[in-house]
Amino acid sequence: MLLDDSILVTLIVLLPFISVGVIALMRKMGETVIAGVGVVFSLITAVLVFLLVPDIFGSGATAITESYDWIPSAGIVFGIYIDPLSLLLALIAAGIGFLVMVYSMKYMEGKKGLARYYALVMLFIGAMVCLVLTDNLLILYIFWEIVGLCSYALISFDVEDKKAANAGIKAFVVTRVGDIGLIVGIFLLYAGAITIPGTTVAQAFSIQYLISNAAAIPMQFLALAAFAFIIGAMGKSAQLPLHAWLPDAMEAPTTISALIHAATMVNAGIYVLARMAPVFIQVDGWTTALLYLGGITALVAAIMALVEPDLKRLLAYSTISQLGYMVFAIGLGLGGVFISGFHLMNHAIFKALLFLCAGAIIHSIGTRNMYEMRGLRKEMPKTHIFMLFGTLALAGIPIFSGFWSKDLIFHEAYSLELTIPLILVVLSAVLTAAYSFRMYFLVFGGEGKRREKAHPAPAAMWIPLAILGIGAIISWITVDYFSSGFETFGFADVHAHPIGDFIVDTFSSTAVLLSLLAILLGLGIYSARNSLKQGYISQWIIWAARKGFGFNWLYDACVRVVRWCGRRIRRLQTGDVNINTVGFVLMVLLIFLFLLFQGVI
Amino acid sequence: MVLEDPTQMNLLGAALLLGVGLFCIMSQNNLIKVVIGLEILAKAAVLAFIALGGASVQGYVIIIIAIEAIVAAVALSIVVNVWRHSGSLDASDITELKG
Repeated sequence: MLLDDSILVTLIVLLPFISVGVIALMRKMGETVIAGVGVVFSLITAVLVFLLVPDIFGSGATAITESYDWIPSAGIVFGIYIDPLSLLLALIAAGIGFLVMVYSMKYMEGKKGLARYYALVMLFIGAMVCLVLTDNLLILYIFWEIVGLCSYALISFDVEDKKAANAGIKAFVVTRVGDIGLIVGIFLLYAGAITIPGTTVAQAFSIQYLISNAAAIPMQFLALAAFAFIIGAMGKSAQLPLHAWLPDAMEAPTTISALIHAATMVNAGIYVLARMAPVFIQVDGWTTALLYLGGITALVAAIMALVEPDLKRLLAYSTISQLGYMVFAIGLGLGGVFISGFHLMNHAIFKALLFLCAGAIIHSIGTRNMYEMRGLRKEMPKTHIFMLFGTLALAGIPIFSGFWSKDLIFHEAYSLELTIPLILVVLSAVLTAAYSFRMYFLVFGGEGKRREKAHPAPAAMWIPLAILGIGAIISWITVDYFSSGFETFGFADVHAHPIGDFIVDTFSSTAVLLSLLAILLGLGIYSARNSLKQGYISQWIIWAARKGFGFNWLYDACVRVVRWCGRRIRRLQTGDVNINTVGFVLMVLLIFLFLLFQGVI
Repeated sequence: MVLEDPTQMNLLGAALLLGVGLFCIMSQNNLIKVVIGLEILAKAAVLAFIALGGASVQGYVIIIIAIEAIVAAVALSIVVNVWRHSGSLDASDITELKG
């Protein structure tokens, strides 16, 4: 082994943050230098993460653990725990992050503030990698916040565009609701775990300690924490009703959309749920809540994707819908944790592909409206092929990656006899197929008017597309590797799927009929779209979906209430320095008295 | 007896300084007097620090005093700018942040 594991882990944790500093200081340098340094740093990060693969997925591998003291007097440590689940997420973040970096070289050419862009992207990737590798919930929360901050700053990267700035603020505020859920959940778990005799502060925040002592944590803490974590994931992973930030985030550069949707931001919520599932599985109703949350989100988002004219917003709704599947998979129980991770990986690859293809198209013809695209088949042949792969994977056509993981979800739900949740996800698979075909035929089908601007994608753009395009076809082959890794590490209810058995099992189960039925029905809905639009009920649904099912109205109502309160409370601020000091002294006295009565001093 | 114990004496002095400083900030309208109040407040903290830390905190105390000097310089320069801007040093005239 070239590098010792502990050195490797330390490098992975430190390098991205060092690179952020380096790139941020290169503000005055040339565009190509900044982009080059960014790409090199992200390449090194990706290589370092990939070097961990043999240590984790070898036979008889054990978890890599590290522990750096952070605030020793308070017992807070920066613990590292690497197992197949965390490494899978880290590979996705670093790998897709690198491809996005390469793509950015051409896509972001000539934009203002490139040093800021590359520094933030590195911070984004680094924070996501640390988030999944850490074992300490407090540290996880810190990186969770950094990921949120980066997505805010990158969504509103084009600071002069009012819409982008507002979308960034919306993303920040909406995900903040989820953040509060997560921090409340973390402290509830801490309060529960600290009651176990002999537990130290560091242990009460350690995920592995919580998992192995889950039965000893008092139920009232555990139950509240379980649902608080769902709220956290709801915000980050854009589940109903906290999903509305994701479509608005499409004001960001397309590369950032690809990062947020595939490599970093939205995966964090799924990861936290999957990671904590062994702790929360004993809470009654937790899995049922996830099943319905995921199922309904998948269905509603798919309906909204069906009526969306904007290419990027359509992809955003499809991400929400696919994230619904992942939440749903965790709701299937501990065996579903692997399925969720597997679907997450496949989705990350084909969604990054779809976004980068969409970026190439938008870069070339300068519009996001699908009705203005049409007939791009001839003008952008390479992009056309890769986008076709992505679309087929999204629709769940057999052989493409999306099919296998989606089918595994159906199979698991079918064998657990969860009828109503199964109907929800199969219905959304039908609509997924329908909107995938709609997207493909609107963008590439038919004869478009001749455009002078359209040009094929340059090499820095189509090479990442090619890698992801091949990934969208073959990424499911790694199921063998990942599932045996999960089994080696003793993930409950996860069994190795040797590749031959996996193929046979998939095609011999009843669930495959559901998958094929969904595709056929989806195709049927797409081809019958004109007559379907006439129906009374479908017109009503289309009208409601165009309005976003009233969620934006709900948000506006919340904002109005807050503003109304703010207008009244602002009277308390007189602006007079003497009065402010009096308030400050009174508050200090109050804290002092409180501590006195608590017996702290 | 309190007066015989130097630590207690010093803490008593620090409490007195604290009271004077806070009173100064709360009651005075002249901005320069407010800055003086702030400085007295900071000195109260330094004195309490010495009383409890003894000789081992010398270095820190000198650093704190240096920082205080910088704070005073910045605060006074702000006061000068306020005076140039509004022609007044009265704190109750400066209520730009009123809600």
